[in-house]
Amino acid sequence: MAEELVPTWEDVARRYGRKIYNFAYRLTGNPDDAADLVQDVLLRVRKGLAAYTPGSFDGWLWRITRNAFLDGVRRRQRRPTFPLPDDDRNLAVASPSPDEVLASVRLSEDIQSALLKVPLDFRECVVLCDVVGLTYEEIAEAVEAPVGTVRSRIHRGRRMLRELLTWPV
Amino acid sequence: MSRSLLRLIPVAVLAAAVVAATVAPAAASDLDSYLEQAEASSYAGRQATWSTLDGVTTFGVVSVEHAGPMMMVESGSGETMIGAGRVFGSSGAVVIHGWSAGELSDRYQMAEPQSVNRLGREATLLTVMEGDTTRARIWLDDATSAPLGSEVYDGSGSLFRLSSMLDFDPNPTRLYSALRDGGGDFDVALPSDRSSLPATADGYTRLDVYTGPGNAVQAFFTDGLFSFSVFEVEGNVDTAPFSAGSTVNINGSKYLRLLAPSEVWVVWRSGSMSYVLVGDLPPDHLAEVLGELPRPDRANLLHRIWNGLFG
Amino acid sequence: MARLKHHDDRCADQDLLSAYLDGELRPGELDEVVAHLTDCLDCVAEFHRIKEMRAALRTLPELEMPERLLPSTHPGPELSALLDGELATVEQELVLLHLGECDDCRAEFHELDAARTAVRSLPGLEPPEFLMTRRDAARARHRARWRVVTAAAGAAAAVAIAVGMLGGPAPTSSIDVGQFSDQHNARASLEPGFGVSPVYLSQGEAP
Repeated sequence: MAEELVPTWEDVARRYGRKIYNFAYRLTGNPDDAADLVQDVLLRVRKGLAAYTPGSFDGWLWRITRNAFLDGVRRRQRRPTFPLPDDDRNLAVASPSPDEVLASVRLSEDIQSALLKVPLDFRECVVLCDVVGLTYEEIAEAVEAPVGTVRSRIHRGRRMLRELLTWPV
Repeated sequence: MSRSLLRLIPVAVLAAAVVAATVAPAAASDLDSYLEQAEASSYAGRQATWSTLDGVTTFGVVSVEHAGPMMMVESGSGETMIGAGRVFGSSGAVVIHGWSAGELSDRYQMAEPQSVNRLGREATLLTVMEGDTTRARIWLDDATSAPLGSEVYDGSGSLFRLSSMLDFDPNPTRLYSALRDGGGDFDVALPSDRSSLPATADGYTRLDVYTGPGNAVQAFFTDGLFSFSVFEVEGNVDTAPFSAGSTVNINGSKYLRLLAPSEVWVVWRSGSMSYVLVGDLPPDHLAEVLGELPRPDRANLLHRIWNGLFG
Repeated sequence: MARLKHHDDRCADQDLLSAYLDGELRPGELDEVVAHLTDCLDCVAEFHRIKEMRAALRTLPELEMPERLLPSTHPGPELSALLDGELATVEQELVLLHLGECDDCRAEFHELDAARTAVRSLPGLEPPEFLMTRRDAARARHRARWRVVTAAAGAAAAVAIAVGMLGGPAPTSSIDVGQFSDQHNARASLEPGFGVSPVYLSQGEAP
């Protein structure tokens, strides 16, 4: 059985930072809050890394991320959330044609603003599944809920989103 | 960079008879590894600590929960979380980073560890020698590596500090939830290079200097076993918090000294600065250290004129 | 001829549709879902809607994390902000952790601190703009040193004249013993040996 190597702090930041940032961004719609969350998670990881015993690193990391996110939500006052256009400088997609860019930006704006209207429980499961790409098992570990609950939240979250969005006929 | 750390543990007042060490002393690095295990241990219980100096005795009991490297202390004044450079307590929260790493001074040797019984548990007794004299004894639980008790001696072989667990449970129950729910705002001690204190004092090395709290500058010293901090403050300090202490003569100079169960405080004025020292070092070390720090002012002509003019 | 059916109680648990799309069905559930989707119009329509939504979510652009969030990135303006106490606690700690590992930044930090202290300790002097570069910091320090020399010369002259001409008695600071204890224990907790003093001053009782 291969021994799991405990990554260094810099490793974690480079490998997982982007996912954590996107998780926070999609959950809050706000790049500043996303940056704050990344910093908070990195700090908690740094503090916890010495005590971390090899097991499921991803599970451990996402649990930390989610707890940090919830702490942040509790700490902050409710800010009016409004849809933000994706920060063009941060787009990590292959260069598309102008029409594609326009369509994708408008679409993702709509999705982002609809996402923010979905209750947090459902929103985080949908984001962990479709943005971060975790399995149901991993999501269940992160949100500390049974897989059945996760499955239900993902489905109902997607349904709610679907209903909130107006699709061109 | 987690370092080994021994929690000052209560020692049963009915100490076991001292068994003189007859075997050649073990390397100090063995002591380090014992202490590392102790730092990582998990346990809970009540701890009593007792110190005596020049006829003054002080004593305290607290509840302790420990899961390395964090420790939660509960007493009449509330809960305090300590460990890994953090203290979260009722007087605030502070986080500090270590820039320099300390080392165990080579004046310490460890005698051969002995198997003993303590609190009904199988334990190992570590004896720390300084030259020919016993400086400290530490009891560690075999099953959990938890510290069960300790003794610290002054240079002449008299007991200076005694600490013991009064009861022992290998499972800290409240610590984990406190760690999980804990947090909140904290001060961070910033590094400073403005200390006027020497780099060493009687076998203690000045590791790091920090600003704060307030306008003070903190210099932290350690010899690997004991440690102390000296806070420099401009002008006078209000000595009301030390009113239970007494003025003592050390090395021919007057100091205000207060004995607490697990630490000693010394306050004095030198030139335009006041100094506040706090640490767990034994009294003979303290006397040597004070000799190498700025000395208290002597009453002189200027002082007497001043006092005469301004009262 | 296919039976046209609408959603009813016999329809599969709708959650299964998402699980099916995500490849997360448990053994035995697959048959149920497949069999059902060949049967029920409403569920088929729902299935397609969810499939579309899922696909749209999965093609959301993935954003780049700002470089400044990496631990190895050198803090620039944050060093001055740190000295002025203007960083949030999390950011404060991160910058200090970086300082612990980066000699260059630590040296710069000390320079900024020295320059800032020198300038701020002079009476009647306006605090300068943020000292952002080493060059600026060095220049400010040089300026400050010259002024300090002048002031000290003046003070020495005053002493020679008469004791009574000196300023009033030195200020008395009140100190929070708990904070002193905490800061000492916080640092001691990082070192080998006896470490911290769990029984604080306020808990001691003389028997």
